[in-house]
Amino acid sequence: MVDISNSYLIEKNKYIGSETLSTSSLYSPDSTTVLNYIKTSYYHKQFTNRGPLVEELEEKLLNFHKARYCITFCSGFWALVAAIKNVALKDRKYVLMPSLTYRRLDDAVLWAGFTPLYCDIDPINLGLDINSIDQKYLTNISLILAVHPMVDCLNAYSISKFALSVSIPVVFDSVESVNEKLPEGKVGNFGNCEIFSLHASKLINGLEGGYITTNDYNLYNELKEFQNFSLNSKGELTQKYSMNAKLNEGHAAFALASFDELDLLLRHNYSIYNEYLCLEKLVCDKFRIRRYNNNMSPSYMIIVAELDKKYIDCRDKLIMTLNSINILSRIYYFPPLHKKRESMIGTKDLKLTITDLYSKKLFLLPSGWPIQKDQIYPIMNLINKIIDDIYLKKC
Amino acid sequence: MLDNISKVLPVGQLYVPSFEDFKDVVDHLSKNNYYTNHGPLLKSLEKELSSYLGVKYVLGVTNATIGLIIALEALHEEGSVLTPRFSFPATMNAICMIGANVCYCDTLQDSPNACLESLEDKLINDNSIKTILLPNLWSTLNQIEHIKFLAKKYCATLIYDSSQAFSCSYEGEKISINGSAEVFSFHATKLITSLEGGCITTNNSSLYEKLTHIRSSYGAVGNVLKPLRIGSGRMSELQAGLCLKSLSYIKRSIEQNRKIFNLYKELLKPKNKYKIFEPGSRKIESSYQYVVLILDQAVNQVRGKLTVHLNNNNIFAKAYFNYDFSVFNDENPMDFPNSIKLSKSCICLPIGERITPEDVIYISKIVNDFFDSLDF
Ligand SMILES: Cc1ncc(COP(=O)(O)O)c(C=O)c1O
Ligand SMILES: Cc1ncc(COP(=O)(O)O)c(C=O)c1O
Repeated sequence: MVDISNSYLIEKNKYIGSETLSTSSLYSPDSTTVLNYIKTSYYHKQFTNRGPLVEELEEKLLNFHKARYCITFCSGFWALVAAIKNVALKDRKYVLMPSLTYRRLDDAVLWAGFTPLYCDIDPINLGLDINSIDQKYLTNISLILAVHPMVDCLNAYSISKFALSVSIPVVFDSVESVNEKLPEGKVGNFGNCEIFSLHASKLINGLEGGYITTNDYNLYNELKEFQNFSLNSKGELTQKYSMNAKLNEGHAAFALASFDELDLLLRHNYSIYNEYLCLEKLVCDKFRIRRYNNNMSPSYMIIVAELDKKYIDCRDKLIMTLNSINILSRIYYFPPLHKKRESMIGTKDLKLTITDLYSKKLFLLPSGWPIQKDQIYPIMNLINKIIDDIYLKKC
Repeated sequence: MLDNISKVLPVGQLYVPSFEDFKDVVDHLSKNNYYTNHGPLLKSLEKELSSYLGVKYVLGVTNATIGLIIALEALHEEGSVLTPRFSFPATMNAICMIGANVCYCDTLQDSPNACLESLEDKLINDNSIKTILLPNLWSTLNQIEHIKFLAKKYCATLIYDSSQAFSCSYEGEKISINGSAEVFSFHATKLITSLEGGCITTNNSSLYEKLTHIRSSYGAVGNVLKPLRIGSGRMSELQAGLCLKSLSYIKRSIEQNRKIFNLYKELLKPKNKYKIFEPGSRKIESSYQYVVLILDQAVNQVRGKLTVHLNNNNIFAKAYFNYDFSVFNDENPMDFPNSIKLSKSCICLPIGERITPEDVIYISKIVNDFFDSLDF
């Protein structure tokens, strides 16, 4: 076992390189651009509390998403909590959400004071499937929390229409669909509001950060108060449930610089994705690459692989082996949330068949700004070999 | 002096690293391509802070409010959290964010510190109280030993919100371990800064594990069995890098604060109309981040007028803290007479990186003239 691992490492270092490979975007904006931005904050001597760069960033983002209002946050996580807390119906218990998703989504719901209620996913896009909602819970659902999946995206229009028809508000977690254009409009315009992340691993690298877009002026003001100790424009306290969730100017400078260079990253991502597709034939008996919908202007940021039935049992070992040689491939959202904290969830009688199926067969291939196109071929070769070895129980 | 009229004089500390320092940190990030998730700069900041403060464990966090939320989530089991009815609202916000009840005690007269009698009275009469969250405000410290004794006597967990008291010492030792956990802020208006930021300190290793776990999905350590709510409190490499710079010249910053504070004391003429709050004492060594005037009852109705007058002269003095704290609970405000009085009578004057001796001369003259012109 040790020997085989070592031979993988040797092969990896020889053909792929000695650096650590990950599945995070890690875009590196031009330092000069970052510094040019931060000069404005130095000029105004303001480094947080809604400084000039935060305002500029919000303006750029709302134009980008063609939304009416945008407000930045210190992270996507607290933006999510803010959105849930301020949008969900107060007198109800559950937040309806997918289970095969961001692994802290249930925590965000708990922080906002609600209980997660899971529904199944659609096998086509791997996002929440509104047809799987158990009707008996409908009257106790305070919010639909619809998360765009990593590849492809939700039908935000039909989810919003459904939510409207049952008078339940909806928040979209659009962290993985920043760039998408749906037939009915750009992501950023659907539901009561949409939340995004500016974490270094996401499309726009602000190191840490997040933002919310909405077309609802009242909600915009509530969110603004929530992130600033509930202080209103007169400096009065307006509600007890609030915090400090402001974005600082340094992170805004990084986000602005990354945003300016977004086309570069999109082109890079597309070339990596395309290379994986071209080389899929090397591994076609073992896994296939999940396809982006080219008509929706995706960011091609993450490469999701779907294992063939025959090789499903090899997945966890494959990830362990890759991680041990500094290829930080990941399981696609692990574990599914309904398996994680059974004492704290809404239902005990869940049948999430599609969720359970897909939780076993997906994983992420290395991608992001640091990956070079010519590394893809040796990566695919090595993974092919490791899966063969695992399958034949060599390691 | 004329220059001062166009220069804005803020209350905050604003010892923000220079543009060159900022550039240094950015260059470091681009060279190393490490941006966040407990990177090497954060690790080195936590190490330096732990040796500066003399505490075993330090966790850098996004900001102090999130630090308080994490500390409370880790330590508060159930029931109410007791806190004085006078602080920056973040102290109370954090209690509400974990879903606990806020329960108030009073402050001392003319000091933001907790009144021991009021504190004990609450602990005796309300057995839902399981945690005490005490802010050390205005760079002064509560009566550490007495409070430790009371917390122990009534089996309450003690947490300090020392957001305004970084680098203050009690009997020669930097504060950081007087509660089960202590939280500091590195907001731009504080003594050292990461623009936004903060840290949690503790000497308890299992608590440290728990805090680390709640701080973030990444970098969780150990095996925490309780199904805790995990939050997000990461500090980025940029924040950590800037904070390291800021920490490296803390001695100079404190010295500047002390000089400014003493100059105010020399130039202001209170004449029984107000007191200049003294944050230091025989036992307490302050970092002098605040110059607070506490107006005498006879003149406290002019505070609004004084604030406007100062603001009109570009002096951004603040009534720190004049909020309606009944947002957080509905206990009768009249039961907390000292806190109410403090809310109505205190005003903070500018002190920090941007304030020169000339500014102090300018501000003091305006304050002195204002009080001289009052008809009392
Ligand atoms: C789908 C999704 N939502 C929300 C978040 C939270 O964002 P942040 O890391 O900025 O807190 C993430 C982060 O990974 C995510 O993947
Ligand atoms: C007493 C007190 N607690 C908490 C905070 C919150 O700190 P931060 O701004 O870092 O969230 C502050 C900030 O001013 C404060 O003064």
